[in-house]
Amino acid sequence: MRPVTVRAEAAEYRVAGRALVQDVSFALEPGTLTALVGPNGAGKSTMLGLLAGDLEPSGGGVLIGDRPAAQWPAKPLARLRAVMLQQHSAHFGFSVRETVAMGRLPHDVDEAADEEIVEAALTAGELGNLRDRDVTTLSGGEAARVAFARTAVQTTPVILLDEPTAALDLRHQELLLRTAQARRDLGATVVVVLHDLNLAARYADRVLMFSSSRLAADGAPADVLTADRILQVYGQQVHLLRHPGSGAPLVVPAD
Amino acid sequence: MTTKAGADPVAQEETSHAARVRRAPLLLCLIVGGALLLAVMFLAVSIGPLRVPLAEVWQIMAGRAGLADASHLSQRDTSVVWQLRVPRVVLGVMVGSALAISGAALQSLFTNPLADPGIIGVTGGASAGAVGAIVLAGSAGGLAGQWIVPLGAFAAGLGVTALIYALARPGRATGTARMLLVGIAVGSACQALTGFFTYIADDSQLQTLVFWQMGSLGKVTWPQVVAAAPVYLLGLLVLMRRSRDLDVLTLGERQAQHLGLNVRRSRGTVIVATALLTGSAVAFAGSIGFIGLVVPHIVRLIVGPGHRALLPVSALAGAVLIVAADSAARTLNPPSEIPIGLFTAAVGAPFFLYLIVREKRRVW
Repeated sequence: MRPVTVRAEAAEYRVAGRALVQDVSFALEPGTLTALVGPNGAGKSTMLGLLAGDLEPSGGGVLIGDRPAAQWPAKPLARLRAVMLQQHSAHFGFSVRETVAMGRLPHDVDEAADEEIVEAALTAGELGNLRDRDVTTLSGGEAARVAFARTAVQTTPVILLDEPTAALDLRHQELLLRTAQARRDLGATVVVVLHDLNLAARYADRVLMFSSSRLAADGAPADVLTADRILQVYGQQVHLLRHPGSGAPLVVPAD
Repeated sequence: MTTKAGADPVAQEETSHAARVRRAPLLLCLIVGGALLLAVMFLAVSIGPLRVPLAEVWQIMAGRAGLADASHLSQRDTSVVWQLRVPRVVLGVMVGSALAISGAALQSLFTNPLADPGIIGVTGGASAGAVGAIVLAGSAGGLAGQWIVPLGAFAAGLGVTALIYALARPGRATGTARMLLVGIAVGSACQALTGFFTYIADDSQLQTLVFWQMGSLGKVTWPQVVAAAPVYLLGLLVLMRRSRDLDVLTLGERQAQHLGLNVRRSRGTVIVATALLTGSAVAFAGSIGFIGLVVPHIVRLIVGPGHRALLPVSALAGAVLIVAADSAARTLNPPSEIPIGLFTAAVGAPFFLYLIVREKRRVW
């Protein structure tokens, strides 16, 4: 996999004079899984939209590889980065398999290889039993798993996921993030917006914490996720424990 | 990660009573649809106040194609078949398939199965354009006169499609309610405009308008068919070539962009092509409603939502429906003709209501 670095340089995004993201800089290296965390409205999803090239920064720059994200032509960009959004609207009765296979569109057709990649993603997402299901009949969590599988078959060096675990049950949250980690191990640059700080602590190599449109902290989970900072950014008292297995920080709200 | 499929009890339990996707093979549908269309076309040419036996229709057609000698047949039959009925049936095929395929494309574009050229106001816009052209420039004779009405319909259809799309495009946190409301507003505005043009029309223009507005394939001549054909074929081919784009657009604009689709360009192409198709259908046949809604819906149940199959099969089905409806329109109460729009509305409006009730939970 071609290593691709993702950068924000003093990135800023304004709508009607209000800054949704301002003065944000970072460089995300290939082979890292980065979590974007922060309270509602802090700018995480906007940041993801900037990284995806959906939004053009009002100031500063956002680069995928050596080029501004919003200036890549659609098709080459789709070979570089895959995006999973929060909403998965399905109004047409494609099957689960057909929907996942749409992730192969940016690539030249190679039926045997495409088949293999799609099957692998269905298996990895435990979607084998749902393969012939009409996507309009899926539950929210199932739809999210299908959307994730679609980003997986895009086989891109950059993977951007916006709250991929929000609708998932416990087992599939873990499964999805382990799959994302596996992609990181192959050299992908993975960015995940997460609300669950414990998932961020366990799966991310690096945590970017956003607070009212700015980057409040950037570093290893154990350094970013401190009780003081969480109180400051979220306004919530927490106890910080250790995960009995991995030793990662475990955030528990104080009474 | 060694998870067997069986390790997911929830998924397994659900599959047992789940809606599995079933698809009829495309080739079979095309063959059946094509055969059905040919049969309906021959029947439509055969029946009418003057009944021409099928064998004779066949001989006249073969004679026209230079395959057989048709000189011994009655001159009257030959001219009724070739000058009146065949162009009418051919235009019916074009109008039916144009409306059906436009409906399918608009539904994908709006990511909304309730979109239809009539419901969202495109037909109304094209009508206003056509009426405006008749009233303002209808007296122009010759070639300009042939083209001015279709041009007006197309230009207005294009403008209105673009406007509605700008106001109710998917992904702006809007949904069906907004699309339909915008359609109502734009539709009323177009109706007012049509009313205004009707008001200022003189007597001879008024006569043209009344005939035209009833939505009839009645006064069709070969030159009109020839004039409409290139526009129709262009629109049809462009949409068929975009079937992959239309598949991806059903996921939503942003998702389509993420999958490498140049959304701006495909969107523009689809809007222009549907405006061409709807505009030419409206220009030559008036406003015939609901075909674009009903046909793709039924066809999706048979071949699935993939546009590579949906578009051609919808085109065939739309053509069958219009040719059949038109035959009924001109034979049920001869010699007067019932406007064909009445038939399509009688079937389409209840169907639309049924869809709204059924889709409420999913789309709203």
